[in-house]
Amino acid sequence: MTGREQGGGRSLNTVLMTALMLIIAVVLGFVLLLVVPRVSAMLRQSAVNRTKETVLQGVSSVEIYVDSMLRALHYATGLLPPDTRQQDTDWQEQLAFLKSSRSDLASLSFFLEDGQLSYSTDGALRVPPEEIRQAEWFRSAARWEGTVSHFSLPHVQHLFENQRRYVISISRGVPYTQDGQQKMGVLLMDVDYLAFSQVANGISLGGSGYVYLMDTHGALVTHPQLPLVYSGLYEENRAAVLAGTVGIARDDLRGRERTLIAATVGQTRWRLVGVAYADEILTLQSAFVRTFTVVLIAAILLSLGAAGLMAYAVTRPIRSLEERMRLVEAGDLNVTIDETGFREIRRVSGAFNHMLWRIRLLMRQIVVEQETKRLHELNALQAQINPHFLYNTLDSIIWMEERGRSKQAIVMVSALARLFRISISRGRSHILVHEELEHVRNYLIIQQMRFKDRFVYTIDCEEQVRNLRTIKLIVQPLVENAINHAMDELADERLMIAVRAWQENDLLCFEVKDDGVGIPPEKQAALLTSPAGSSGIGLKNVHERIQLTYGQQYGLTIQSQEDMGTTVTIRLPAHQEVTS
Amino acid sequence: MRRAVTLALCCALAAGLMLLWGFSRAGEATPAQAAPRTLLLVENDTGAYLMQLRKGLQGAVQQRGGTLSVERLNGLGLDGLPPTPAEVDTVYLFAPRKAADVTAALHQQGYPVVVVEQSLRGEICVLPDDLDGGRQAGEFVRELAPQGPITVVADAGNARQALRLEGVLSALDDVSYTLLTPSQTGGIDANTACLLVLDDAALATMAQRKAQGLLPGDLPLVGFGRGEAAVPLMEQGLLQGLVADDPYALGYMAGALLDSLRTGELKPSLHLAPQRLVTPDTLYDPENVKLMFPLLD
Repeated sequence: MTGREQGGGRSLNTVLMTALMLIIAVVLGFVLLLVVPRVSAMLRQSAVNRTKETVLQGVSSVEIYVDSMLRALHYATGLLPPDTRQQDTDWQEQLAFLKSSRSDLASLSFFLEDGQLSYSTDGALRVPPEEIRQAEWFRSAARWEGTVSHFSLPHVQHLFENQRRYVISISRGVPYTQDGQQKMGVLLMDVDYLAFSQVANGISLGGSGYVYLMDTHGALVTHPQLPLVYSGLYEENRAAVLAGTVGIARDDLRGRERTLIAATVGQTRWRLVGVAYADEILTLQSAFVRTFTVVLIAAILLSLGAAGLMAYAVTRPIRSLEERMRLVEAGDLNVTIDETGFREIRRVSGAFNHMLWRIRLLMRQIVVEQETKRLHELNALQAQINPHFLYNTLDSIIWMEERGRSKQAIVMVSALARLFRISISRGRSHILVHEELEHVRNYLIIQQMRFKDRFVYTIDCEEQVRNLRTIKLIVQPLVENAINHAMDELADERLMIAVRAWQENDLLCFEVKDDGVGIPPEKQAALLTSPAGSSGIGLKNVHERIQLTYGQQYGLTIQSQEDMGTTVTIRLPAHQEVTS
Repeated sequence: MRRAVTLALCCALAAGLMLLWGFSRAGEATPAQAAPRTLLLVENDTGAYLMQLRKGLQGAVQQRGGTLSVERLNGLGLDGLPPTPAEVDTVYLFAPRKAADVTAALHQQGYPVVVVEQSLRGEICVLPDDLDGGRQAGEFVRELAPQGPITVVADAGNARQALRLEGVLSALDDVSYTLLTPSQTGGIDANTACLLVLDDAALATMAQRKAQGLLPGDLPLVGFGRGEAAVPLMEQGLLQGLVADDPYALGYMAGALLDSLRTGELKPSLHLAPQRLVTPDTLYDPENVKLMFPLLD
C-alpha cells in the first residue's frame, strides 16, 4: 500500500475534540447529577421549612387569639355570683361592659343547671330550657365541670329573641350555689365568626396558599373557600391531615402539587393546616434549576468551542508535518519543516528534517558513484579501443597476410572481433564469467601471436561459476598488466600466465598469476591508486569499478614477490545468472 | 484554522445568547398574560342573593388575577356602558326578566356574554341545577309522605319549574301525586299528605295560608326558593323543607368559566350550580349558613 492509499481512518483532530467533549460532558454531567438534585432538595426543604415556620407562627397567632378569648371567659367567670340568692346585679353590668369592650364578642350568657337563663347580654331566650340542656355546648361544658372550655363549630346563634349571629361559641362550666346546693351552670360566650376567621385567613402562604382550621373530626372551622366546600365545588384533603400532629403531606389536588403542613392549636385541639402550592414556594428551587441548566448548557457550548480550538492547536503542527511529508512524497526533497510547537512535535520535525538531509546526501553520493562507475566503464571501453593495441594488432594482421599466413590472420581477426564484441556486450555492464574468460582468451590469442609465444597461458574455470555474473573487463587488464611487466623485464624466458576462476563460499574469485619478476613493494601500493599507464585500463580502474559496483569489501588484492611472480586476485560476490 | 475558529465563535455566541435568554427569563415572575377584566350587568344591584352571587363571582375572578366591576342595566340602551367591548373579557348578565333581549344587544355590540340564572338557547348559561333540586325535593317528600298523595304546585310553562317537576317526578316513583298550577291552589285536596310547591312566589302564599289556618297546620310544606325569606317560615314551623339556590356557588362557577372563555374553548352550554335541601333541623348547620343567612357574613 502506498502513502496515497493510507488517507482513510479517523482524524486526530476529530478524535481529540470528541474526547475532550466527552470528558467535559461526563464531568458536567457528574456535577449535574450530584449537585443539582442535592441543592434542589436543599432549596425545596428550605422552602418547606419556611412555610412550616409560617404555619407555626399562624398557630401562635390563633393560640394568642384563643387565649385572649379564654382570658375574657375566665374573667367573665369571675364576675358571676357564686350564689343565685345574691341580689347584686353589678355582675350583669360588668358582663355587659366586658362584652362592649371587645368588638369581637357577640354575647355573654349564663345558664343555670336546669337550662334556665340567668343573664344574657342578648336579652330573652326564644327556646325552651329543655333545648338548652340538650345542646352540645351545654352538655360538654357541664360535663367538664369548668376544667376545660368547649369550642363549637361556626354556627348561627338563634337562642335569643330577634338575634341571629354567625358565631363560634365557647362554653364553660361554672359552679354555683342554689338553695345551699352546689350546682353546675354554664357560661356561654359567643365570638363573632368573622373576627375569628380573619385571624386564620390573614395568614399568607404565597400567592395562592392559604390556611384553614378544622376540628379533630375533620369538620372545618375556618376556610377561605368555606361556601364552596359546603357546596361541593371545592375539595380539601382533610384525611391526610388527620393522620398526625405536626406533619407534612403532599398532594396534587386539581393538578397542582401542594404541600400540606398541619399543627395543633393548643386548648382547642383544632388543626391549623397550611396549604402551599409548590410552584409558588419553590420559585427559588425552580430558578436555581433553570439558572443552573442554562449555565450548564452555556458551559457545554463554550467547552465545545474551546475543545475545537484546543484540538486544532494541538494537531496543527501535526497537520503541517503531514502536508510537508506529502510534498516529500510527491518528490520534493528540499522541503524543510519548522521545528516549532510542542516538544514532541519539535523532535519529530527535527528528526524528519535530518532524515531528509540524509536522503539528499545519499542521493548525491549515489549520483556521484553512478557517474564514477560510468566513467570507469567508459574508460574501460575506451581502453579496449586503444589505438596502439588496435594499430599493432592490425599491423600484425597485415604482416601475416603479406607473408601469406592467411590462416593466422584469420585467427587474429576472429579473435579481435570476438574481443571487441565481448567488450561492447551490447552495452551491458555485467556479463557471464565464461564470457569474461572468453574475452581474456581472445586477448591472449592476439598477444601470443604478436609476441611469438613468448608466454604461455592457461585458463581454468570451475564449472559451477561459468554462468555467474560479473562486471565486464576486469580480468583482461590484469592479464595485460602481467604481459606488459613480463615483456619489459624478461628477455629470454617464457612467461607463464595462469588465469583461474572459482567460487569460494559466497565469493566469485578470479586469479591472474604469473611467474615474472614480481613487483617491488613500493610499487604495489601505487598500482591500485595510479591511473592507467599506456598499457590500458589499469588495476586502479578495475579495483574502483569493483568497489563501486559491489562495495568496499570486494576488489583486487595483489601478492607479489620479487623474482618469484605476482598473483592478482579479484573477489566479487557470487551472483547467479538471472534467467527470464 | 478557519473552521476551528468559526466553530469556536459560533459556540461562544450560542453560549452568550443562552445566558442572555436564561437570565432575562429569571427576572420574570410568571408568563405574561393580561389580567382578565369582567363586568357584572344587573337589573337591580341590591339584595342578599345578588350580594352572595357577586361575592362568589368576585372570588373566582380574583383567583385568576382579574377584576370585576358592576353596572346596572338602563333599559336596553347599552350606549354609554362604561366598559367598551375592548375593555372587558366577559360580561356576566344577571337579568332574569330581560335576559334574551339584553343578551342579543350585547352580542350586537361585540361583548362576550355569560348568562347567569337563566337558560337561553345558543348562549353560555350558568344556572341552578333545578333537575337535581327537584329530585332532592321528591325524595324528601317521599320520606315525609311515603303513601302519598302528594300535591305538586308548578307552572309547567316556566322552564325552571318544568325541570324541577321532572326531577320531582323521577324521585316519586309510584307515590301518587296531583299537579296543580299556582292559580289552582284553591282546590288542594284535603287528603293531601304533603304539599310541594315548585313556584317560588306561591310558596310564601301557601305558608301564609297555613299560618292563617286555611291549610292544615300539620300539612308538610316543601318548596323552592331563596333561603333568606324561608328562615322565619321554618322557625315558625310553617315550612318543612326548602330546596335553596346557592348564589355564591352560582357566581363562583360563572367566574371559573373565565379560563375556558379566554382560550376560546367554551361553546354555548349549560353549567349547573348545586342546590341544597334545608330543613328546620339543618337550618343552623354551618353548611347552610350562607344559604339561609347570607347577611350574617
